[in-house]
Amino acid sequence: MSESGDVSEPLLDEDFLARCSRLALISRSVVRGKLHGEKRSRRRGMSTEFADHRDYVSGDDLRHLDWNIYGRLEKLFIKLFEEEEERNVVLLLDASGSMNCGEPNKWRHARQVTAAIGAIALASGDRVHLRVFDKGLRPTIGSLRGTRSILRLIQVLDELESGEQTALFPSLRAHGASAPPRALQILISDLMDPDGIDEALRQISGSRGESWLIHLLSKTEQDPQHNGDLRLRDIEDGSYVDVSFTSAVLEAYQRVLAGFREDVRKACARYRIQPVEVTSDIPFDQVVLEMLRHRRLLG
Amino acid sequence: MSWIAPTMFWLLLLVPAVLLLWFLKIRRIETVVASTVLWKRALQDERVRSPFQRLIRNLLLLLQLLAVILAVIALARPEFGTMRYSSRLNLILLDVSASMNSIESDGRKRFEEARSKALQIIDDIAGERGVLIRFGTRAEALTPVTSRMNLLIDAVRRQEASSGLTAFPEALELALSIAKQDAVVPAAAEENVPIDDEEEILPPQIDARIFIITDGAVPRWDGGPIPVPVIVESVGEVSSNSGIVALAARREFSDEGDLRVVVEIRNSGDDPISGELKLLLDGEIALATQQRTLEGGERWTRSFALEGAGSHRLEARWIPQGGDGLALDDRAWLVASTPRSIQVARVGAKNVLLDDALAVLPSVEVKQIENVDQIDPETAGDEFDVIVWDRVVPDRLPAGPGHLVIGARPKRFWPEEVPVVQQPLLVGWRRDDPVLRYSELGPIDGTVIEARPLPLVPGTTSLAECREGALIARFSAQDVRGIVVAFDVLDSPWPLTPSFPFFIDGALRDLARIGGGIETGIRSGDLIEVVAGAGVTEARLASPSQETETDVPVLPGGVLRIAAGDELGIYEMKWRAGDRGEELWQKRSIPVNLLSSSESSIEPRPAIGLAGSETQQGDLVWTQTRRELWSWFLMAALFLMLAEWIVFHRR
Repeated sequence: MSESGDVSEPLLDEDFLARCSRLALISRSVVRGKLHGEKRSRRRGMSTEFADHRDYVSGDDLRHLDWNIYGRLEKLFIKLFEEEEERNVVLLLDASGSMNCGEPNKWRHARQVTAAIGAIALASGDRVHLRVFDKGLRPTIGSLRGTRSILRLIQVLDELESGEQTALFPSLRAHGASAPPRALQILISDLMDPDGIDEALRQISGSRGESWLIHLLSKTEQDPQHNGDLRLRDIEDGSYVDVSFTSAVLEAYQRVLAGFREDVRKACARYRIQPVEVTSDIPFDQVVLEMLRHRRLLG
Repeated sequence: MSWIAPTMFWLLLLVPAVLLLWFLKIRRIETVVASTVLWKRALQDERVRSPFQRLIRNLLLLLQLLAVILAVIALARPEFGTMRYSSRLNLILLDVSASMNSIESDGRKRFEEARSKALQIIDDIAGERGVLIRFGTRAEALTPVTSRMNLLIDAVRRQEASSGLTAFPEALELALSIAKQDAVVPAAAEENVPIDDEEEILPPQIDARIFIITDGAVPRWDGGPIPVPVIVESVGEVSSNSGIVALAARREFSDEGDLRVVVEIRNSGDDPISGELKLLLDGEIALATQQRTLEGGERWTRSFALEGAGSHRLEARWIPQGGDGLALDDRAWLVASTPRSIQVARVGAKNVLLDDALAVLPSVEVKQIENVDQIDPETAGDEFDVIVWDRVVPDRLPAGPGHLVIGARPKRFWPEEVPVVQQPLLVGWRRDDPVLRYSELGPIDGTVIEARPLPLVPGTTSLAECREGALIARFSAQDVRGIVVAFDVLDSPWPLTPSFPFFIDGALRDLARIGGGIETGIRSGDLIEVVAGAGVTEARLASPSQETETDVPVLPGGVLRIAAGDELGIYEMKWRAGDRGEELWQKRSIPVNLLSSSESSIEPRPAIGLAGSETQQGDLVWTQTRRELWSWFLMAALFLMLAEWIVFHRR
């Protein structure tokens, strides 16, 4: 397993890239692309792989009549084939200041996860759209397709800088306006937005395709190890709060964190988003290969 | 509440220091986090769930401040109670007499137990007032009346048992005197409330009590009822003891001047005690050891004849087998010396009987002088030790020598004419006075043809008296002293009896201050007095062990006077005139002995004689009206520190 690794090292190593070619992202709903691709679509269409029959109606292509059945039953049936389509995978990466914080650092970890998922998607023939946002949606990077784009994706992520404040809702709403239809949307974020997450997650609702949320927190956010009296300063807006780290305060924090995660889960359920909770101390490849596979998001 | 060490309140300046440290301590270290959103919610949640958290945080500061304040209060030593007269006075009488040196069965001195009991009493009376009085040879108050128990404790710890007798009545008198001075004036008198004629004026109320820590070997108190409670703390268990209770000697009436020595040993316990008696003359054994077993309560008196003309130091040593309770009474000393002759001037007409009496006395040199004018008042003191005035006496007696006035009246003391009494009947005489010790005055009882009995006036004491006054009296003033016989001895058969020369001998030796050459000694703490004569510039007293040598003040007339120390044995007084060489020191040895039956009786006696006044045994539960509270404040401070520590670590 690879660690999140040194910042001087490439985001993905060659071994991982080699394994990506044998993996594919699994969608639980039909996805549609502009081009015929390698993904079996639930939409019955034109391909070589038989799927079902249906009654002939006027106007159907007679080339698809099943003459064998007509010989036996003297009824006209049209053979239906599974249509193979190209799938759009949208990687929504939170590049706000809060992502560049915590121990181990979330920012590199988030880019590694993004790169890994993107590489798997590209390797399995999906079209990958990388959308980066902080206080707004950053200029769109053009979609990528084919294994040759993997290095391009890694390069782009490697050169990416974290931004300032988080504005989830405006950013994802802007994304929703230009998102490809019925795409697989994967949001990688810590969701640390003082304005809340509900409206934001609604923008990537799974009702228009399929959505995953990789909710990334650092180890120090999940289990703070502070002692004494500290002044905690917010990396994004500079505000601070004075905390005396007593057992009561730590217990209250754990309650609030659990409540926050519960809120995320409920919002995800409400908007048909597959949530995956990740901490930055778990190596990114373990996140991708084990956690996603365990949740049957990876095949 | 009052404060013993109020200056400690300066330490309250630590309070700002604690505040400063507190605020320095909470200067927070800044840490960057991804978001404060969750923390703000957590704090809000914590405040909702634990509304007292903020209070607890301030509680720590509060606890620290309280702990500091309580510690400062403890250092200032608060006392609960008042210094007013309502605080009871406790008079602690501590017996330090010789019997307190008895060794108990646990090997400790009896006085150790007495000291422990005294300390216990002081602990019990904390909050009240006390005064410590020790009584041995003398009674003396060791502390003023005080509420500061430390003074009493220090004084008790400094005490050791002495080797003297028990001046218990004096101690009780001193205690009662202090108690009466401390008496509370009744409230009615204090507030100037008019008192009706018929209303009884209350005497001052004595709010005091007396503790007597003793083994009970004390003289009986005959001073009347004691108006305050008396609590007797009895100490001691051991009762087995034997010791020398008497040692005396006298010169034999022989040319050799041999010594006749009498020793009395008493077993004051109940069990038989065997021992041996040794007599040492100048440190050498003078007689073969005498073995003896004494039954309980038995007295054994032995008389020895020693060849001992000249000056000698005699020591009697009783060695009980296996030792006994009190070692102090197992040794006794005396000094036999050759007295110098007494220079006597006999002034008056011829008196054959008086001259014969003077002639038979050894060591007396008599100069006959017929006229009073032949005595030079300026030189008489240097020339004569005693002047015998026979039926004549000058208006002004010369200062210096002693005066024996017979058949005349010193006008300085009795300026008025005294009526004549025919054949006065003797009412009594002081048999224990050195002058009359060997004289039987029966021959003058109703046989004196006529006498002029002298009334007692200041400066005079009666030695023998009839109903009308003194027939024989002492007189003394600052510069003159003497003995007067208020009748002409020729008017009585007295000069024809052996009693007369004994009287003359005793009077001359008394007035010349020259003994019979035997120093039987004094007791520990008594005054050693030596008349060294004029011109003495320096005098010292060496202890029996020669370990200490004390300068002795020289009083007018060359009188050397100093109290003997606690060490028993033979003290040596030495003196010299002017700044002359060491060889010109003159010396005199003074033995200091215990020789006391009452001190040798070491059996503890819980009840002591107080002439009807009730006593209580110890171990009472006292009402405490005054307490030092520092320990409580210190405990509270420690408790607060513990609480602060617990609160801090439970946060």
